[in-house]
Amino acid sequence: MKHINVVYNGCGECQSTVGNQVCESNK
Amino acid sequence: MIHKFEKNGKKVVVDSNGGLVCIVDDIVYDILDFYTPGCRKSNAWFGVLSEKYGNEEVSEAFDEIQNLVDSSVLFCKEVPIDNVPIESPVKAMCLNIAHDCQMRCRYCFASHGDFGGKRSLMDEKTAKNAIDFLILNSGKRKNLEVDFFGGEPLMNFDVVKKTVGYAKKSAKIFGKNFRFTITTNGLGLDDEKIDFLNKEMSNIVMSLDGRKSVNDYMRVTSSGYGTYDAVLENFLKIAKNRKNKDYYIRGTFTKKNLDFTKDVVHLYSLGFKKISLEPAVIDEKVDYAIDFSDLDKIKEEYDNLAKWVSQIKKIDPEFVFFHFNIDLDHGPCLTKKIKGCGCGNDYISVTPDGSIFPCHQFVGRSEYLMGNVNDNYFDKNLKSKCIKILKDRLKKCNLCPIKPFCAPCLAKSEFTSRLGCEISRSRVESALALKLSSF
Repeated sequence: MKHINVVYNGCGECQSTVGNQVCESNK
Repeated sequence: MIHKFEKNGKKVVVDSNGGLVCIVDDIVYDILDFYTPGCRKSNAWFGVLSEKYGNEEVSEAFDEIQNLVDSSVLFCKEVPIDNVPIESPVKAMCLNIAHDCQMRCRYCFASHGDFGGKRSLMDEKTAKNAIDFLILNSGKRKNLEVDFFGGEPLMNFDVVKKTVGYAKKSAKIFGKNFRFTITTNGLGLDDEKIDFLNKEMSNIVMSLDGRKSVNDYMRVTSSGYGTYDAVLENFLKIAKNRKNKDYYIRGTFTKKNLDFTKDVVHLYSLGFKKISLEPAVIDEKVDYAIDFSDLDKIKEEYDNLAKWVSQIKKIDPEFVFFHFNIDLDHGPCLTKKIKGCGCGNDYISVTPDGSIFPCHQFVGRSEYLMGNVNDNYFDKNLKSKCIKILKDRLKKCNLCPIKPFCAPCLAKSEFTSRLGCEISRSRVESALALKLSSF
């Protein structure tokens, strides 16, 4: 796209700002 | 709902429900002041912007926005909280193994280690009962966590060692996996303790505020002496021997050092590569308490820090500033984002006498006493109360522009003002700008 640059688009086993946690299943 | 802001010459748009992040040009940035889903090019504002940018350009930009809306990634509908299963088994425990401390840090939320009660150490029996309680209440969860906390946990090192041994033995019997962490002020460290911590702890959090003058004003012994020189050598020894395991140098900033980028730079210059620096949580009217008048300075400082981190990461990819660590590609799932820290739900805190509280910030508040590990009593009504506080808080968060990258802290919901939210917002914007600096 010319005007917009899209940069970025419950198992309970992950480690206890939640935004900086990494999903266990994605490690 | 969308959120847009400018940083470092980039115009950023975030979808606050879906988490989309994009960089846009001036035309899109201006259109989004007026655009609402379902609007048309015949709207009056379209003509005004066409005079400024040209009809063809504005029409193209409008169509690009419309494509993202049609793909359900911009102006997303909010996710109904009630559709997300929040109640969980217990899987993480903050084990307050010592309600005592050698330090008298001015900003300490734990009343200098005793949490407003008497100074005490957890005995081995209570610690083992806490491990049993965690396993018994963990349901099908396999990964369990114990954080040795206080006070200063190394004042009760013998019980720390025995608890780790007991938990590892129990884990084999019950098919669980324990992850141990510890937060220490460093005063009690010696080679024996360092070897043990480096072997057994998945993460070691070491408290140090940065520059010597900053640290030694806030972090003092019971005799009033600064502690920088007493802890630095052993902290460096830990950091150098962690290999692929986690550690964080964890500092606190106050109104006295709103130029905290200098503290991060100082800690890095000493050799620490993983740094967390947080605003002090202080409700009192003391001369170092951060208030709303400091907000502009804090925003400016997070921007300064983000620019410095951007330069450092080019030459040292291992460097990490904890709160700039937003992972948009592999971040937490929706359930995790909504549940947040799990306070009083899948996360609890246990005191030296075995009392259970929703988290370390609630310790000592009798209305939040959830039970005791020594008689295996756990008040499910209080667990439900914590979940209700969370849901009430999430409703307040619903209009927050950075909600995809934050999670509500129940203790803050109960005890503090919106200042913490405003600081989080400025930090997230700086973190996003840092992420986007390579685009």
